[in-house]
Parts: sequence; C-alpha cells; structure tokens
Amino acid sequence: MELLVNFANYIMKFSYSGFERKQNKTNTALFSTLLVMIDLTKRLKRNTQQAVFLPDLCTIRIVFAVIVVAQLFAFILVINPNRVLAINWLQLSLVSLFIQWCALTSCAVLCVLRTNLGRFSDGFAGFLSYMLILLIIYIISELTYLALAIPAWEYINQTRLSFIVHNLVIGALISGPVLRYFYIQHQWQLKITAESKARFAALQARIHPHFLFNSLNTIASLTRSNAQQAEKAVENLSGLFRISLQDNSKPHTIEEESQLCRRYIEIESLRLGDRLSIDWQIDSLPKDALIPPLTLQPLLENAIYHGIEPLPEGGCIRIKGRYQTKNILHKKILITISNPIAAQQHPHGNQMALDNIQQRLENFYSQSATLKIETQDSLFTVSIEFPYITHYENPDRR
Amino acid sequence: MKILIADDEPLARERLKSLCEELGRYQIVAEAKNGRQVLEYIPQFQPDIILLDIRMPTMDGLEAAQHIAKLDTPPAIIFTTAYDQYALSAFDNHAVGYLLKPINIDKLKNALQSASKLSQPQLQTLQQQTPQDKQPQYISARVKGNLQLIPVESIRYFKADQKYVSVGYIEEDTLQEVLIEESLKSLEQSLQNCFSRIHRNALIATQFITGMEKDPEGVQWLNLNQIDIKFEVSRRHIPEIRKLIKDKSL
Repeated sequence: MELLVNFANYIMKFSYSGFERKQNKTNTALFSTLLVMIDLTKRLKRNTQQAVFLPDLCTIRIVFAVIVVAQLFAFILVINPNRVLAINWLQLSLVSLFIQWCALTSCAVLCVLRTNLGRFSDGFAGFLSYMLILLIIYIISELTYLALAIPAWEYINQTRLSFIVHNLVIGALISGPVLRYFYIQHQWQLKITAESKARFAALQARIHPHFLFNSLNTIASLTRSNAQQAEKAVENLSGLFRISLQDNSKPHTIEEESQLCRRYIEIESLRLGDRLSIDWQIDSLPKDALIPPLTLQPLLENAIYHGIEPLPEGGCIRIKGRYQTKNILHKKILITISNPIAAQQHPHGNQMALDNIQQRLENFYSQSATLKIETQDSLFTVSIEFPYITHYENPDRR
Repeated sequence: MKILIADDEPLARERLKSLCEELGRYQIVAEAKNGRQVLEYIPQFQPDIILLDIRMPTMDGLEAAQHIAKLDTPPAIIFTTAYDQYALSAFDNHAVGYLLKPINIDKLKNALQSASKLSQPQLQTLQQQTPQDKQPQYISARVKGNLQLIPVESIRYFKADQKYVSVGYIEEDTLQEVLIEESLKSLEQSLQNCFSRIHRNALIATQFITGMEKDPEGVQWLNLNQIDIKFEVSRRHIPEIRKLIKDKSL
C-alpha cells in the first residue's frame, strides 16, 4: 500500500511541474517497469531460513524503509542552503525519480542474489553488494544521461563524465552506511532468535519432560492408593525442580548434592519398583567439598533412563566416591557412577547431557576437572574427578 | 469389553486399572510388563483393546504393535506415553488412538469408545517417524493362526524360496525353520547391523560366519557356526563377505 501511495504522489508532482506530454509518458513507462520489477522480485523471493548477511530486502517493511530513506535523501539534495523554503519542484521530482530508481533496483537485485551472496564470508559478500550497488548507479546514470541530456531542456547542466562521477560519489557515500545498517540490524535479529532458541533448549533440558510426566503419572496413581507416599513424592519433586529452576552458578556442597540425588532416586524408585536398586558408597568424601548443583543428578538420570529402564529385570546403580590426598595442595575427589546396560543397546543418546556436565565442571574448576566414560561388557561407567575446594569465588565478580 | 494393560511401571498399570474400573463396562483381563508378554497374552486372554505403553524393556510398544498387526483379528491398540515427541508427531498426523500420561479419565473414555484397529499404513508412518535407533528384537511368524516370536539373536539365516522367506534359527540346540511373510529386502533393511546379504536369496547372521571355501567349480560357499548347511555366495557379494571374515579374524 505505502508503495502505491508513494507512486501516486510522484505522478501528482509530475503533473504539477508541468512536464511536456512526451516526457510524462516516458516517466510513466519507467514507473510501470519499476512496478513490474518489484512484483517479479517479490515472486522470486525465497523463503530460505539460512543465515545470510542481509535481511530479506523484498519484504514490504524494508522496501518501504528504502523508499522513505531515498526520498529524504532526495529532499536533502535539492534543498538550497540559502533559501530553505524555496523548493524547486521540477528538480525534486527528477532527483527523486533518479534516486528511487537506483535504490529500488539495488534492493531488487540484492534481494534476488541474497542467498547466493550468503555463500561468501560476510565481508566479501558486503563488498560485492557494495560494488553491485555502484554498478547499478553507474548504469542508471548512463541511461538517465542518454534520456535527459538534451541541451534545450536544461535538466542536466553537466558533462557526461562529471554527471556520472557526481552520482557515483554520492551513491558510494550513502549506500555504504545503509548497507552497514541493514547488516547490523540483521545480525542483531539473528542473535535474538538464536538466543531465544538456546534459552528454550536450556529450559527444556532442566525440566526433563519425560521424567516430569512420568513422575506426575506416578503421583496421580499414588493419590488413590497411598496418599502419604504421594505427598512425599510431591515434596521430592518440588525440591528437585526448585533446584533445577534456580540460578545454578552458585555451588553447593557434596552433602547437598547427594541429598538432591536421594530425592530424585526416591521418586524413580516409586516408579520402577524393585527394578531399581542403588548402592551408595560415598561416606569417605569430605561433606563440605563444593560441587556445581546438578552434577551427579543428571548422571543418575542417564543411568536410569539408558541403563535400568530398558532392562526387564532392572539393575543396580553404583555410586562410589574416593578422596585422594597426595599433599596439601593436591586434594582430589573422584566419583564414579556405573550402571548395567542391555546387551544390544548402543551407548549413545546421553552424550549431550555428558558434554554439558563436562563443560560445567571445566568452567567451575577452571580446567582441572575431568569426565571419563567407559563401556565394559555390559557395564557403563562415568567417572568425574575434581579438586577439593571449600571456598568459591565467582569468577564473574572478580 | 476386554482390556489388556501393558506398562513396565506397576503404578502406571495400577492407575490405568482403577480408571478403567471406574468407567464400568470394561474388564481388565491381563497386565503385561513388556511387549513380549503382550504377545504371549493375546491368544490366552483374547483382549478387544490393548492399552500399550511405548517405552518398555525387552520389546517396546511400537515393535509389539507391528507384530500384533499381523494377526488375523488383531485387537485395537491405544498407545499411552508420557512424552515421546517423535511418536506424537506421527499420532497427530494420523489420529491413531493415543493417550498422554497422566491420563485423563474423559480422554480414556473417548479413546476406548472409538478404539479401532491400527491400519498398516498408519503403523508404517508411525515407524518411519520414530527414529530407529533400535532394531527389532524379534521376528514374528504365524504358526497355525498364532504368532510365534523368534529372538533375532537365535536366527542364523533367512532364505528366499520362490514366494516365501524361511527363517532358520536355533532352538534348544537344534536348527528350526519357519516361513515368514516379510520380504528379504525389508529384513535386510531393518536388520542391517547384524545380517548381511550373500546372495539374491539369502541373508546371513554375520556373527556366526566361520569361513568361506571354494568348490572345484569355483563357486564360493559359506560355512556357519553350529549348522551343516552351506550357503552359496554370489560373485557380487564375495568382496564384502571376504572383508567381513577378515575383520572378524583380527
């Protein structure tokens, strides 16, 4: 719509400025070709979601922005610094026409070539687009000169060379910042989309839909048969979710983490019955050692989901803790979690959770923590090793 | 209406049972802990509807449904699942009966009332949309109207003979052979991890291959562990079988 209004404005201005009939005709012809071109490019518009360096220039919103910017620029060019209010309408319409031609053609060409340009690096693609725009300005300048440089009309009082150079210099000065603006705006939008996607994934990882809905199902069943157990399960579940949903940058002690794990195991035992048994051997660990929250719990969750659940008879998860002191400076904590796995099962699918834990351990203990995975016969073992610390200073606050 | 409940979690079974009882007019005839048990119970209890959990050990709900669909008069299936994004997308497209846990009694009522048989195309799309990280654990054969389940690990070979495919497997140390309905091509696809094609008409369990020998006429024959039959290897497949044997001996 805005497009049409704008064009209508033009046509009105032209008739005001008293063009000759013939001239008017060529101009309307120019307009109609322009309209056809915009229509064509719109049809060519590809719905690719690829991350390219420029936004889709064929959307109405952007075409409108381009037209407005080009028009403002045309106004600036025709303003006479000495007599601001005296606008030469004829000059304005010609300049506007020229600038809109350049702007919209560039817009259309870049729109069509957008996905092709996306294959190059951002810098090179930007350079190519810039050159393309200058080429378009050059071609249109040539055409304009051919059409309008009739001495008797006195529309162009310049030689051909100075006319073209003049246009190219102005075009180069303006299109650079405009391209840059579109580039930055597009990058910003891509960043926002990526961030919100990542945030959603993180939230989903914290909530564990499979675990949540199965637990709720268990609770629903228990409310009929054993209200007390149901109550306990709700308490455990809310305790678990409170920790998963809070800010986990602050560490807690191993004691707290094992409490959390016990809550989790309690919920899962309700569900799996006697198929799940747990062997805790962590008494030798110093209780005040710090650990990032939700380090051990996801490992247990993996062990249950990939190890115990596929086994008809279930099995036992072993959690062993060892405390090693070579000297005062070298105190290490080693925790291994092992679970049986079904014979045909491929040990995969839990890689993401393991990567995540490894990364968090590395961040927290500044690279001095390790996570190792081992599959032997039908036993899957994850071992984590990290230094014994009781004080933690948030590296962000330093 | 007779209902069979299949879920590996005792509390989930209990809940379904009490919901069905609340609805009246439905009778729970059996409870199964996995897909394998479901197939055992069907001839015994003749259920009309099966409430089938998708994630179960030994044989999951999707595999069980595939075997069930081969029966002459298969019971209707309603899948139950806590969260299974892949399967759910298939359900949404094809409106197969499914229920999300915790199950709502009204939805259960509706599902039971409109329960109908799964059609083969529905089942196929369901299979395709669910990522196949697991291969089937059993091959089913129809013996006198009943389903016989053959554990994949006991199978030595599949052999195509004109129209039929026969499967050779070891039961109690003797070689048995039954006819099945699947084609060699589909078997080759679903069992590609542990079976290899050696001839246009034969698929062999890779782990039981003991060696290959040439007869005076230059034809290569394959020997298998525990059985006396030799299998002809077509010329086209010789290089890959040779490679398999070499990899095994290393």
